[in-house]
Amino acid sequence: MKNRKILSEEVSQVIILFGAIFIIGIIAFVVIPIIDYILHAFQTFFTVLSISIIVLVLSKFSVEWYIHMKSKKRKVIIKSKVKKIKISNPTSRRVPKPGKFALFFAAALQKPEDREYLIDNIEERFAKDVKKHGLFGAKALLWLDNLVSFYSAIGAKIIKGLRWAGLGYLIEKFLIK
Amino acid sequence: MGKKFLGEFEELILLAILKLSDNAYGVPIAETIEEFSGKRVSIGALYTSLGRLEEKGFIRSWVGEATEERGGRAKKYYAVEGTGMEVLRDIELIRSSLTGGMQLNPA
Repeated sequence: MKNRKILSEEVSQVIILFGAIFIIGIIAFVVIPIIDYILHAFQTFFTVLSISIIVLVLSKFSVEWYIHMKSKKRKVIIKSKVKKIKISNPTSRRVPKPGKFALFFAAALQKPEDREYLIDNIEERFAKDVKKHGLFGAKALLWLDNLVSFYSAIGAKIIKGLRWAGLGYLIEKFLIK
Repeated sequence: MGKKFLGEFEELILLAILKLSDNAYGVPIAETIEEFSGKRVSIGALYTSLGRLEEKGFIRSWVGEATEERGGRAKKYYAVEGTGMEVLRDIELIRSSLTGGMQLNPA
């Protein structure tokens, strides 16, 4: 009688164990493809985004290099159908400023109350970089900074999204950064 | 209650702010970190981290008076708060506990 009772307990434990394995297998069979799909979608998104940014930066540099080579030591006025672009002499004493698009890009992902101060700091730093590295070098560094800050801001928004979704404990527990 | 941790970059920012004392705003903070780490710091990434540190309560900010630089526009300064100092002390304690007795200098 006692053996039969022990046997039935063992059988029920085995059944429960197999049942749990079966359920976990079903869940994994459904969930893992969904997670894989989402990760693939993110990967595709970031790949396309990175390529588009690189193309944008390279084309901007190409245009500026072309203009720089054309201007050399004299003033050049380029007439176009849309607008007139006046390129000053490289020895001009005017304080160089970063382009509006570069500033817009830098400020876009920052908090609205910080944008004004961010732009001020970028302009101050740009002036120092021009003295150190020249105009072209300063612009190259500015765009590299913009790419870094863009991905930094994206990362911060992802973490914020995770916190909003109630997964903040995962960040606190597993991610020190 | 679990201890709060800092990222490497966040720790450098807090230390730079402490070092700069009353002159801790964007560009000097970036330059101080670059001077000691040898790596260029993006102002945008710096501001993202400063925002995060402020949300955590480790630093506070205030707008200074208008200056002659920047065409008379004011600057936003930063200072480390009490909780920021605590977390820096905790990190220092962890570091010294881990490295206690170790010879880290090359032979």
